[in-house]
Amino acid sequence: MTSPKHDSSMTHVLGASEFIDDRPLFINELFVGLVLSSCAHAKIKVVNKKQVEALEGVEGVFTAKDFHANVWGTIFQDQPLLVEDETQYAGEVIAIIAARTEAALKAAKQLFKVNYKKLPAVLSIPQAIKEESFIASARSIVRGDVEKSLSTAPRKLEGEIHIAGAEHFYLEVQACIVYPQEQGRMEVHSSSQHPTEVQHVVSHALGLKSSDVVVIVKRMGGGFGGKESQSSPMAAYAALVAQKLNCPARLILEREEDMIATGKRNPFYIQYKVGFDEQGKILALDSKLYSDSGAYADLSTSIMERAMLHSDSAYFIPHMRVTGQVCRTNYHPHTAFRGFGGPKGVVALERIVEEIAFILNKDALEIRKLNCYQGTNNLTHYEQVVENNMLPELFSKCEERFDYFERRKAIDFYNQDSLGCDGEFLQGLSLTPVKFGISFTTRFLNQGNALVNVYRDGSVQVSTGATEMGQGAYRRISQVVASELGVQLEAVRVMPTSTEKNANTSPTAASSGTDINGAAAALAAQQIRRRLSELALQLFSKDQKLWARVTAPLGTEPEIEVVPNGGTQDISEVSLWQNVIFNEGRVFLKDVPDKCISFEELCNEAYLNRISLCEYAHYKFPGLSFDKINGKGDAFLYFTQGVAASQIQLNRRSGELKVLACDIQMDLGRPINHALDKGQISGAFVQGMGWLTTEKLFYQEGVLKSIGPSTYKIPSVHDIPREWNIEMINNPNNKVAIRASKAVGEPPLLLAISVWAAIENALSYQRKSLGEPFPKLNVPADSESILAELDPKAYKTMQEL
Amino acid sequence: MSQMRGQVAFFLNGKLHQVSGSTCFLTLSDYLRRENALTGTKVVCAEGDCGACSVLKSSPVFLATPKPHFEMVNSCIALVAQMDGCVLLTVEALGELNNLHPVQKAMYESHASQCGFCTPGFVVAMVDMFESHKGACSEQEIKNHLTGNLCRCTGYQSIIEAAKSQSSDLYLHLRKKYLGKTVVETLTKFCRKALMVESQEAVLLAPCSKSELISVIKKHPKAVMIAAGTDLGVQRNKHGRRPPVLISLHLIKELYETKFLKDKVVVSARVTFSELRKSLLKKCPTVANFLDVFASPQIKNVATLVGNVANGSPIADAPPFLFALNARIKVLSSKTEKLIEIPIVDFYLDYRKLKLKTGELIWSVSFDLPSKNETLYLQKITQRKDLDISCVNVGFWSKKSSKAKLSDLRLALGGVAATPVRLQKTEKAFLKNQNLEEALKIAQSEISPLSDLRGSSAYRRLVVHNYLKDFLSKQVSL
Repeated sequence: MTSPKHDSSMTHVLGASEFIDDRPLFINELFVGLVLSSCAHAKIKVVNKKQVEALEGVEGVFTAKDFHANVWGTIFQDQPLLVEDETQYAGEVIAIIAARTEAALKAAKQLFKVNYKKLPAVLSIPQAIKEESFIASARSIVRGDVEKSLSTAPRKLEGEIHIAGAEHFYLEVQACIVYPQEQGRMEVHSSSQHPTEVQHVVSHALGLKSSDVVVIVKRMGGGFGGKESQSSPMAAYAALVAQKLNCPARLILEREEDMIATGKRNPFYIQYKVGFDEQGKILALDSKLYSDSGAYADLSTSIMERAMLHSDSAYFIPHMRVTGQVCRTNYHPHTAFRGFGGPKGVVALERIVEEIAFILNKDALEIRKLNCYQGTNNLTHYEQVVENNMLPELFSKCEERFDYFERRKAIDFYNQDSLGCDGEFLQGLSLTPVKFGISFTTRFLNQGNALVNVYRDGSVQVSTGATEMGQGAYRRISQVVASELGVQLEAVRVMPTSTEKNANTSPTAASSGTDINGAAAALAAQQIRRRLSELALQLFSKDQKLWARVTAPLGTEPEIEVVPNGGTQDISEVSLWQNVIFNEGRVFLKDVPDKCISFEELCNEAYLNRISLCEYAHYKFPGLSFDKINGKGDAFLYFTQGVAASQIQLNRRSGELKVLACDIQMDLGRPINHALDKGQISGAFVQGMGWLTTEKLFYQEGVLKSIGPSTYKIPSVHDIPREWNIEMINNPNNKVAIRASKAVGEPPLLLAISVWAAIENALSYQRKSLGEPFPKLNVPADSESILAELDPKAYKTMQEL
Repeated sequence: MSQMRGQVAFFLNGKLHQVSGSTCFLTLSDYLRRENALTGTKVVCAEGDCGACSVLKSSPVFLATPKPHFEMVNSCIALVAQMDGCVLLTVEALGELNNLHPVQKAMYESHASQCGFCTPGFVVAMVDMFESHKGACSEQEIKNHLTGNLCRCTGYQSIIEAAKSQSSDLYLHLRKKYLGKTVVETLTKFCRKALMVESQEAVLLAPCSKSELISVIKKHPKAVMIAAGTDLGVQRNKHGRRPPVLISLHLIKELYETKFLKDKVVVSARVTFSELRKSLLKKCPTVANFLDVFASPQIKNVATLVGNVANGSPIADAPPFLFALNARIKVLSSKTEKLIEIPIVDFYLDYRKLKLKTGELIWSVSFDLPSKNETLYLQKITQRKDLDISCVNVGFWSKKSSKAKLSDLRLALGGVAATPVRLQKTEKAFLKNQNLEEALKIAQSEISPLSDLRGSSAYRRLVVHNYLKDFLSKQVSL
């Protein structure tokens, strides 16, 4: 199957794709830099602003009072753009410097002095719980009688898990350039997943109207959620310089600044109580989720909501209570990261499943298959029916494809041997599912709009609110439009995302970029096709000599009229225009192939007959009914599902991990672009593996110390599974989404949990042989954590040396 | 040295560039992006750890051997001055619209780019691989070669597929187009003259011979020597370190030599890890293979063994195996104008403090090649297996007597004290009584690891314990 290539792939391989910092410099352009707080919580005083201002090459130094409104925030407007007198986290922005050269900017940043008077800081979730340092109040989703069924369950277990955050490590740092325009207006080029929010934050901070600010996003060098909210203040910093000094202003963070200043995946701490029976059926779950929001709310309440909604992983749990509380700490404000809260809820439950299997001496796969949504056990804890459920099929396909039980047998032997003779390695195996809800859980975000412009030569421009960060949204949207208009893919170009063309858009997030914007673009294209169809019908009934290309210059024929915007039509007419076929750049009457015109000619006829070739359309997801207060209703339009099986190997000397093999089976409906979807699966899986294993954020007194790839280890080419199969099953029934496809961006990240669970599985072999309890692995399972679990006694001895 | 050149000379994408003044002290990536609008080369980390800034740089073309060829390097941590005498190619030179380089075509066909930010670096790395390889590459070779390039989007699968679909037989080597006779002759002519470039803040000198070097050092005894300057580039970008006087060794021909004597090898100051790996493949495969998990190819193409020793870091990768192989450091003193040899065990005095006086530099390092009755065991323990800075570094060596009895032992470690260390008490005790438990206990008293972001003290101790136990128990049982 050959899928169309990513729309920028040609220029990507040539090095010719333009990113923000690749834009040519204007002669008066200024480099903008940030002064970051080096303290987690402190009263601050700027010491030498005047001295820095006087430095050669420095054009301006700005602080909080320079903003018209020094506040922003996505859900709650709770965050200052610049620290006023008390910094709440290390990395918070204290001042903005504008300089003529990068060297002068560097010198100015080095010279800038801030005095800190340290205050007590909240630096962990347990501390925040103890001090009741919370953001918003706790929410719960409850089904059934949890207390009762916990007390009557034949078997019980309880525990806790600490889940650390992760750095997005998009390769292109936060970046933007702001060009001041006439009359105080601003043109902002930003590396952002949410141009509309950039527009809001910039205009609000600068005291401008939304209509004064145009935000353009051509592409991002990766986003992963890290540029959903947090690129907005960056744009405001550059815009302030552009406004104050009336020069183009370029803000490109340095890698370490980006890592220190911007928030990460929210750390979570989860406590759970589970009741189950001898077969391993989960009867009740009481789960308390605490997340570390950092110093401000950012998106953390929504992230918590998604964590709660995914605390069932893919299992039917008859009695369930999940409570979520967001904690305020003195870290950078944590934010969206691929999967949002979903992965955290799922990790906790998959750990529980591994432990149940350990206790009952069963294979965890049996427990999973027993509990997974199936048949009439298909109602989630928030009372949405899991429709079109492919989980059972996915389980059996993966089990079979991976020879799960054959591998299990081999691993049993291997580990027995290794444990018997102090061998170097232990192996583990696990198969975990994902059932990821597609929709923003905040209903109003599930809308989008699109503008389709067709030109007289039959070429097409499409503009939507979707931003391109590598995921291929532009390509998928262009495929949708090309097929609606029956033209070659090359005829359709998706234009850089701009608030000028698409207003009030949603972030490209929640995996919904193509679902929302592709559907809007399809609606717009359909309207154009309908007008062109009506035109074609009338043209076909006329002698070609009377067509407008001949007669229009002299006005000798009356114009052809069609109903604008495809308004109200009687049914007979509808069926008539539907007989016009658009295919491969040709337009013809069904079953009458000689009634035919090229798409290009037809567009020209439309223009000459004064029929609009442009259309705008709005689209919203149908049928979302989730009530956040009661925690009940249809939170999602549909679910993207999949399973992965992973076999791993641990080095018993060092704790190092190797992923030996992996099989992924996903249900992506009918993919619009198979190759792009596959790329999303492999990329998300490896990113998830990084979070769960090697990526360790190292803080000292709230200050991040792992601030570059030399100290923060994202997976390298060697870390991917040695043997790796990715497949998609056939499911043509997802009628609710554009072209029966399914969203893919986030769900496969959760499949990496199979790797993490396989580590627990490997460790449990050893625990069983020693008659010790189940290993309590946290996230990330880095080499040290693994070794500490492999040999807790020796590790403790070494700690005491 | 009456006449010194005042301009750095190199070819960039087929054109001769002669550069003087402060431009010489820019990073190469800045020179490409800001001064030449060659923005295909990206800067992601500015510490040589992600490969997005990779460009192709020729080996020193003025040398008779090896034949001039291209190698990829990180442009973000190299100074423009260090390009002196080289031929450079950026991604822009590799192909153009409708005329892609086969590697670009393969990346395109395999859907191997997503956001596109790492892509030019991968293209350069893959082109480099086929430049230096015959035929198709195995998956392991591909992975080894792409170790220095990070991608956050693809999960690498499609990139590996692109590389697998290629073979070096498919296309014309770049060296044929860009390393022709005229280019080599032009640059060789420049390289015969010593170099001195200066800006307001800094000066860089590059003498052409040992005697010139001695007189330059005499004049600037506090100058910082650069063999390759990979760490200096990082320190410049991350800590603003800009030494006022730099002396580069790149024009001194004899410093590119690796000499094999009967049972040892002498490695001169400008021999890179890549060259070293190649020459050790047959003569000492344990070290050659160890070099595979050692930095990235981009770094190994530039960094030198001598630089790794001179850097003095307790977590440097080379010292443990050098300790294990009884290395000797040959030091050139500008004062006495003589070379003296210091055993490596005596060379590290304290944290980043070497037995090296002002006006002295390391000329070469020699070490023993293990013979048949000797065992060499090398291990690097890191958070991520490849392209990571060591948490603990292990270099163990043992010798059996004719009766297959343990007769000698060297146990060296990195990352467990302020300097690389040899566990001499442990060695002595174990040689004496072969008591494993006792030896392991003594070993713990000989190390004093720190806790930092690469691992806690307890972790380092436990790792040392485990590997030592493994190694020593084998020495007895065999």
